[in-house]
Amino acid sequence: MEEKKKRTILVLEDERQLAKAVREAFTERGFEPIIVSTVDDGLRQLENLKHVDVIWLDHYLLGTGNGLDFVVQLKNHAEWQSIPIFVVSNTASSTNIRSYIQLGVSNYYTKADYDINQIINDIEYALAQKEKEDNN
Amino acid sequence: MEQEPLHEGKKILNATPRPHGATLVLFLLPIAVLFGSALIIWLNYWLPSTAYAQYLLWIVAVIALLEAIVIWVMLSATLPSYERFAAAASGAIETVSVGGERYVRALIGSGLGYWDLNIETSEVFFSGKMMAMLGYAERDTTQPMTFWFENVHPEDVEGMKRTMEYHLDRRTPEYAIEYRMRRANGEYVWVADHGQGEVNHEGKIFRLSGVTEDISNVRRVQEVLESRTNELQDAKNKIEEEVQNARKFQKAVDASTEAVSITTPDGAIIYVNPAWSTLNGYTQQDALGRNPRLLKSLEVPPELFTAMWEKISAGLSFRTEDIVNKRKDASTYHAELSIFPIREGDQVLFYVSICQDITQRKEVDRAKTEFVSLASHQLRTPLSAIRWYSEMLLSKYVGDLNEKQRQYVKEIYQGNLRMVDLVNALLNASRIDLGTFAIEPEPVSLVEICESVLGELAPQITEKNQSVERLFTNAPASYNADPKLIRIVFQNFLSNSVKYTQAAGHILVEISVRENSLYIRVSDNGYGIPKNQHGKIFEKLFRADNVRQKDTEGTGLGMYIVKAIVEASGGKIWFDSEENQGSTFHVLLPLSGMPKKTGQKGLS
Repeated sequence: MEEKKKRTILVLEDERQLAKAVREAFTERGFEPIIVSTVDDGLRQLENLKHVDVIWLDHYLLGTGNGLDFVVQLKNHAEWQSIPIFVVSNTASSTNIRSYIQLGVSNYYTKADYDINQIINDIEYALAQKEKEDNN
Repeated sequence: MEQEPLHEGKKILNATPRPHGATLVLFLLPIAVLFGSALIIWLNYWLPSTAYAQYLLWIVAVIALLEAIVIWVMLSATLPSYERFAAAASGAIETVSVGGERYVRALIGSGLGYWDLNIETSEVFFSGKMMAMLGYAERDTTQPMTFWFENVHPEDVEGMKRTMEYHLDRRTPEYAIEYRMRRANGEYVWVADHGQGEVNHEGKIFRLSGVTEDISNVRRVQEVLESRTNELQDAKNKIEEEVQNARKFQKAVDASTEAVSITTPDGAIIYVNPAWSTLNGYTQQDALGRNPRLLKSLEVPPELFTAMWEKISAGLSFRTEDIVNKRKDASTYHAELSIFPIREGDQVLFYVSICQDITQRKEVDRAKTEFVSLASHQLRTPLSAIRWYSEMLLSKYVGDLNEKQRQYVKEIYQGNLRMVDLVNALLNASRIDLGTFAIEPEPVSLVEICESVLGELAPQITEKNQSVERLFTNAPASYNADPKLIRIVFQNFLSNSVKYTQAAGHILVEISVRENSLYIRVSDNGYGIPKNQHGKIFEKLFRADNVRQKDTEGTGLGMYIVKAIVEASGGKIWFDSEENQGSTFHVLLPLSGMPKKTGQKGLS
């Protein structure tokens, strides 16, 4: 059994408090979290990093652009297209949610309604599924 | 002229020279005869005694001849002119009588009653026809004037007498009056008198003659005409009143700030009020005869028009807040549109549409919704932080806690969860208030959703050792509902039952069809609701006293939200409950499913 590599999660979250909690939780669960607060920073990180396993995306972010813009950009790049995206936000209208789903995000969560461990469980499950698919 | 026969006669007579000399002849003739006879007698006595005795016969003969000649001359000078005159007179009489007869025949032929009043004797001649008109035998009679006056209708006699007097006093050129006369059988008949007086050499009228006509028919016609005229006048007045009313309504519509347009069933505009023109930029001229389609903008989904046509072709009224109209200058605006058919019996005469520019309102709604969204975001962020940090503490991410610490953190975590619930409920309630929540029905399995909710509640149910009975045998396999909303309904009912029922209590849930509607029932034998609080159950943030003491959790918004969902879906909700006996909540929903409702966001 090869050593489990630490999985990278790119977190786009502009609330400092929450970002900290997210970092702590993911680190505890064996991830390597990268926290950014704007769409541009997120894209830059994608360019710099060799590999990102999963993305945690809030809808409202600092700077120009929101979560939807980020997803659109992602899906336009061949090498980033298949990264699973988990949208975790406290507000997005049903039209926006529909747009996210249409664009092909993996899931959408209202932050306050979920324990962070629940979300991380779902992420691990999704990654395991993806690994199985990639290997087949 | 009526005087003609007389004049004609007089003319004839005047044309003939008057004969004269008769008196002279009357005097002279016997004298001549006497003189001649005397001469003969004297000669008879004197001549025999003279020499001429033998000529006596001759002389007498000559004298006789002379006498005859004289007489003949006298007669032939006078008699012929008398003969001529007599012939002329006879001709004159004939002319007069022929001429007069014309009038008599005409009078008789007319059927008019003729009368002739002798002022001096106060006697009046009534022709046969006149008497017949009054119901007596048809015979010429002469009556005292009183007979006439007595038979005039008491209401008319004053006027009639006065009219006659005026004419007799020569104040009027003619005598003419209409009045009622009593017939022999007592009934009154309307008559019209026309007459004229004859003036004597003193200039006074001594004789009044004229005709009387039975005008009862005329009168009847007059009466009918009068009543018809009155009827027409009434009708005219009514019409004027209606027109005034219509004008009032027209003025009201003209002055209204809502845009009103009227179209024929085949889609031609026949009226628009000034507000419509102002709103859409087309003058009344521009709009008349056009199809209202001219306002159609491309921003409206075609399904809206389909729905609209369906309703109005069926003669129903239609209302939407989702239409976007285009003005003449191509600018668009959000409109609230209501279309009403105006019918007479089965037929639709025309459609009235009332339109309001709700761009402002939509803006305000959008702003409110945005505010609510923003507020929810601001509220939820710290709640998320508290939740996750407490969670992480409890998960020992940063080390172990002692028992007391764990307990305290658990309280923080639980309290925070309540806040999250409350914020969610408030958000839903505000979306209901704004009317901005959407209903997006799709075929769902109600049983599945209900079981899923029961599954969520399973831990509490087990902990409280409660039993749950399911009556799903008549549940429809598929029902058109917004899954989020119907889930909220089940969640509220079932979690209430679990919360507000004692340990080992019993809960029943039924999904079936009743009275051609979908029927849902959730029943428990728990704490119940005190009678004096029944009215407030569906109020926002209301929690009954008896449960507030037993259990501090609960937002008080659940029932308000459920009621709003049920009613927006065209359904009914009610309950029975008695304190300490339990509660039963009933819901009826249309079997066809929840109607689609567009909105800004669904409830969650």
